[in-house]
Amino acid sequence: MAVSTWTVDELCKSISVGLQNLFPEEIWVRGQIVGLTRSQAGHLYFDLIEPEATNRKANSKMSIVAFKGQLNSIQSVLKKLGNLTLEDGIEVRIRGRVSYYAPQGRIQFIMSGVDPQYTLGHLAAERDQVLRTLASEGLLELNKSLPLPMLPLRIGLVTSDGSAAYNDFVNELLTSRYPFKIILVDARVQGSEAESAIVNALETIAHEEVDVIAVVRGGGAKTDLLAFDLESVARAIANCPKPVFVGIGHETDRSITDEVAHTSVKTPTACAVALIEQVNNFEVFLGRLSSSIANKAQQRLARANETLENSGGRIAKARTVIQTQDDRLAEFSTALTRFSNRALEQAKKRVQAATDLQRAFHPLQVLRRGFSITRDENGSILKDDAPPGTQLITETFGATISSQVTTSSRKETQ
Amino acid sequence: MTNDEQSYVNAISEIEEILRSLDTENVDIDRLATDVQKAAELIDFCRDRLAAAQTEVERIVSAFDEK
Repeated sequence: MAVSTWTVDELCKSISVGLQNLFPEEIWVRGQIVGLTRSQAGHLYFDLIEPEATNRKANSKMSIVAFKGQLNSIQSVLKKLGNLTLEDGIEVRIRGRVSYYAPQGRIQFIMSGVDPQYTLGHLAAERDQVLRTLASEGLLELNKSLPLPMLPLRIGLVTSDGSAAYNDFVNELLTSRYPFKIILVDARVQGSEAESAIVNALETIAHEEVDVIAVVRGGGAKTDLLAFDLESVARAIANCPKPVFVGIGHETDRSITDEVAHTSVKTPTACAVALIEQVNNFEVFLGRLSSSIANKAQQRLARANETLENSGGRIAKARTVIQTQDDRLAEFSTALTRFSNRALEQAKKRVQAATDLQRAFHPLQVLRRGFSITRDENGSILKDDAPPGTQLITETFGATISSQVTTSSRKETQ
Repeated sequence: MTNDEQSYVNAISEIEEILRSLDTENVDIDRLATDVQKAAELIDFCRDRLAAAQTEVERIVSAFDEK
């Protein structure tokens, strides 16, 4: 039997019928969204690949189309049940039918429904995994451990220039009474470029002379904020050498960025308010400090005055002491003269007395009173009897008399 | 001990000691002149010290009053 030849039309119809037979009903398929585009007609196109195949060549790929008519209900289900939107990179479980699109000669999956819980579960699981990794490396506390400058007036701002978030944040700061200086590093904060834009912006601003870095973004669907759950963004914040404040307008969950930031608040405005508060705290602190300094100065002055008054008393005392000592020295001087004179007087008197005594017993004085001294021939003073014939020499006060013993007799009383 | 090393308090004690020895019945006349001389020197020394202290106190007080 000769091999039959098909027309293209016949072939396409046959494939189409074959597919319908193979997939008679709608099926569920799961995978990761890549290459999401929206046509001018309002249809949404993307490819589904095996998850995490983004960076290498996908081995399997399915073209997906969500026609405008279905898209609204799909989007409202996503929004209502998960605050999600269809974005590149997210994992989805979608419902639809497999069909062959003959005009372009390709098989495509016509999407009719979506399972938001699947995406939510995946996002949560990914988020948990990233959080665990960050926690195990100590990155959750790293930026929090940086000391917050007391006066954070130089703000490095990472956000999309001209966005509502930018305006809210900047207006709040500029209408405060403090001279904030804002250095903006423009960064896309949504979509596939957000990851590298935020990471690069943080690296750039970290080298500027800023006290604090603020990363802000307005609210949006959970999938709009995917960049703030990314490990690379979290690492950039954790390792930033300056304290990072984040104000991402999300309604319920905290993002991973919130977990690693130094300070996390709900909105860009709240972020500005937190910074204003910090400056205000410093102003209050300064106020307290200055009144405390004034008080201390007063106390010191009072003490100094007291000391001075005491010193006055001591000076007066010093004068009294000098006077007392002066009087004492005068007394010493007088006493010295008196005692030395008296001692001399007494000494003189003793000498005089001795002289008088000596004079009183002098032989001449005795002779003067009528006594005489008799010596024998040898000149010895005669105190006892002498034999008759002994030559005597008697000395009186007025003369020397020679005589001879005639008789001599001893006194009975001797 | 030289005059510079001599302290006022020690000088006063020494004067008192000499005066006590002079204020007795039996003063040693051999030492009298020496003792009196010594006491007079010590009294002069104390007077000088006292005068210097007074001058210094007055100088400090007047400098203080000018402030």
